[in-house]
Parts: sequence; C-alpha cells; structure tokens
Amino acid sequence: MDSDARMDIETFASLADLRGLTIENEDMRRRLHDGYCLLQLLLDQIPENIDAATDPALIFLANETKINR
Amino acid sequence: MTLLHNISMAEAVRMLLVGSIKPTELVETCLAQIEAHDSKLNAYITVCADEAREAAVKADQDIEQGLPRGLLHGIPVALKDIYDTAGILTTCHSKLFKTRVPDNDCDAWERMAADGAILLGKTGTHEFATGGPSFDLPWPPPRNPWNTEHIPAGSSSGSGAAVAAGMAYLAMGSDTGGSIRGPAGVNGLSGLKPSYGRLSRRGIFPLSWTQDHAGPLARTTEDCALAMQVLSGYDPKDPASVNTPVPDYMNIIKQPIKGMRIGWCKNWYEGEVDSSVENSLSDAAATLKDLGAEIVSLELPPLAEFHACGRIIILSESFAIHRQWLAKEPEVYGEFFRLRTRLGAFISADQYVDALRWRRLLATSMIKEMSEIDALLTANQNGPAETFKDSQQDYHFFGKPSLTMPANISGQPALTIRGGFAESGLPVGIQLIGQPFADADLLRLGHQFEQARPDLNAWPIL
Repeated sequence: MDSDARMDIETFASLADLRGLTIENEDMRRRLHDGYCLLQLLLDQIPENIDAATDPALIFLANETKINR
Repeated sequence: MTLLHNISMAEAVRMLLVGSIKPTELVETCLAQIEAHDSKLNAYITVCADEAREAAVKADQDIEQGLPRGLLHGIPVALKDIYDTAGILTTCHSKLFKTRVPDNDCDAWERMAADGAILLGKTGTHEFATGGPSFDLPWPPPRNPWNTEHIPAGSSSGSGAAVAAGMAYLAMGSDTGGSIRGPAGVNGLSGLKPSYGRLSRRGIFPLSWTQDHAGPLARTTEDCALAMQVLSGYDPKDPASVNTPVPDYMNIIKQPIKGMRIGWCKNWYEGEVDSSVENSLSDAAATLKDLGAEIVSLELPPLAEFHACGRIIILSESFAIHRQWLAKEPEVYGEFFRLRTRLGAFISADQYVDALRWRRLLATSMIKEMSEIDALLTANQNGPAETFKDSQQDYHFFGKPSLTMPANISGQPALTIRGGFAESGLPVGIQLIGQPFADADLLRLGHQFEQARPDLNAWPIL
C-alpha cells in the first residue's frame, strides 16, 4: 500500500491544528506528515470486530497471580 | 590476569565476602574507567564521585566491623536517568528536565540503597526513553564501547555502555518495547525485562504506563539474579505491582536445566536477520540441548502484529504524558522525540482501546502457544549494533518489527544473553522468554548457558 495516498499535507496540517499541535516549521510539518502516513499502516492492522466481551485489562493466572494493567 | 573492572558483580560480591577486596577499591576502579573513557563514551550524565567515595569509605568500615547490610553492600551501580534520586539531578536526558532534582527516591533505588549499593551516577538514555539517539539534546548520545562509531542501542543506552565498559558493575534500565534487551544485546551483556508487575516502577518517569518495566543490565545472568533478589517485592504505590512471594533466585539459578522444554521460535526472524544472529541461535540451541534441555519448534503469531499493537499503545500513552509540554514549547524537546511522540495525537480513543483489547488477544494467544514449554528461544536483534549514521531516522519503529515487543505485550519475563559475535567483532544477543512470573527459571537457563559457554566471555578493549 502507498501510505502517501492517505492524506495530502494541507489536509494533514488542518488535522494537526485541530488536535492542538504547534508545528514549528515546514520541514517538521513534512516529516510529521510522513510519520502520520506510516502510522496508518500500523492502525490498519488493528483487528476489526474484536469480541465485545474482550475487556482490555489483562489478567494472568500464573501461580494464581493476578495482574492489573 | 583479570582486571578488576572486567569482573562480574557476583565475583565482586564473593571477593568482598572473603575480604580480598574493599568497596573503596571497587568504586575507584569504576571511577578510573569513567575518568579514562567516558569523554568518548558519554555513558553518564551525572557522576556522583564524591558521594560514591564517601559511601565506599563507610561501607569499608561497616564490612570490617562485620556489619554487612545486604548482597549489594559496597557494590557501585548506576541508574538510567529516568530513575528518580532524591537530591540528585534526574534529567530524562531532556532539556525539559535539565535542572530537575527530585525530592524522593524511586522504589528501585530505595531497595538498592537499603541493601548497601553505592550510586556512581545517572546514565544517558534516549530522550524520555524514546527520542534518540539524538545530537540536539543538552548531552551527547552514549556510544558503544565495542566500537564508538556504533550505537549502544536504546533507550537504556548509557546503562548498557557503562556496564560493558566497566564503569559500573550493574546498571538499571527500563523496557517498554525492548529498551533493556536492545542495549544488552549489542553491548554483550545480560539484561532482564522481568514479568510485568514483578518490579515496582514507582519513581521512574513513564513512557507507557501499561508496558513499562524496570530491570537490570549486567555482565552476567548471575548478576541479574543478584539484582532481582534485592529489587523484587511488592510496592503498593505502583498499581501494577504484584503481591507474590519473592523466589530464591540465587539458589534456583544453580539448578541444572535437564528436562526443561524450550520452544525455538524461528518464524519471527528466519531470513530477516544477519547471519551472525541465525548462527548464534543455532549454536545456542545446540548448547541448551547438550545441557539436557529438550528443544522443540514453535510457531507464534506474526511478529508484525505484536509490533503494531505495542507501538500504537506506546504512542498513545506517551503523547498523553507529554501533550501539555508539547503544546506549549515543542522545541524544548529534540527533533526525534517531537516527531515520534506527536504521532500519538492522531490515534483516536477507539483505536487506543482496541489496541489494548488486541493486546489481550495476542498475550492470551502467546501464553497458550507456550503452555507446553518452559521457555522460548528466539532472536533479540536483527544484527550487530548499527552505526550512528544509519541510526539517524525519524521513525526507526516503522522499519522491521521489533523482536523484543512480544514480551512487552504479553508481560512475560524476557532475558537477553550474549549469543556470539559478528564478523566485525560486535556482540550479538539472543533472547529467552519465560512463563509469567517464572523469572527465576529464565535466569537459571541463562546462567547455565553462560556457564557452558566460557568462550563467549570477552570484553571491549577501550
């Protein structure tokens, strides 16, 4: 997949503004935009339709040990 | 003759016990190494020379009078500079905290100090344990003692460099996606990411609350076991701390490993890593088999899934921690930190929660797949330490998936030990992952392996 196809840099700048980010200059905006596009590749891997019963708290039952996370 | 700065911490403890050495000699040895080499290694941000000398004189007197305080009495150690130490500069290697002096000690230093350890100083890190190696911070990045053109990995970079260079007998690090095991592997050390909840993180500046672990970097696995004996214990002030008995690590590691079942996970690295890594793992499997362990092949869920899940969580949580400062004065941070951490602004609440739920699924799957084995053998790194030139990438984590992330996802203990050397002479680590809260058995595996492979015992010539 071409990550750069996700969002152009002008739209990205507006999104960054909405998220309250102060971006120092054009060079940093371009590099952050690169990172944003690559981030989408990670986010795309989150499985869809995880069972609603899957609570995020992770509990081990090793040696009757419980963990709060 | 073995030089005093090249002995392990356990050897130093044994020499102290029989009176063949004094704490003042150990401290002077480390300070001499720092004086001679740290101008090119940059392992330390703060060196507490006067305080360490004063503590060593007191330790000499206490030991002479038959008043040993604990296993680490008189042992010089270092702490990653995200560990709070009362009255001592604790910077997180960032301009933001350039003058920050905490009022209280972290849990780890409380325990080590009570045991009689002597603090040599605070070691360099990637900025706030994520933004590095960087050249735009108030202190230069630590360098690899095996070859200073190469990185000591991170983020516990100064801790790795300090121990490998004989500038401390033990250094504490933190591990959110591999920040203990990376430096351990490329500096030729033993490094343990304990089970999640085994060691308190109180007083350690967070990167990601749900994935941060404290742990030791040392010259040998026996040293890590010694450290764990002192550091383990319930801390009600860390909500993740688990109230479970502390095993007798030092006794357990002496037991043979005959009969242990070890799963060899190749699908995470085969064809993707340097030949030195593949060769080290094949050699390690043969050694473990010679020691009586049973080696079985084991395939686990794709590495890329662990990596993506862990990275989304780390970015979300680290942005939440730094959001206010990033909004007000972004340029107080280095460029790498600013770029990486601000990506968390673009992860939505539902994506973050789904990543947490995904983590539970991955952890459950990994633990289930490992239910018939005692430990997993796999790669720790893609190859020997890269050069500083190659390391200067805005987003290192969008490259190959991290081999160390799975144990941060599952919370299982993971130990890195020296597995071999690349043709360049740089060390290569291998990784062992244990069952939840079977940290002692994991250390047993590492210790017995090291006992069987004295050929791997070499140190950098500085």
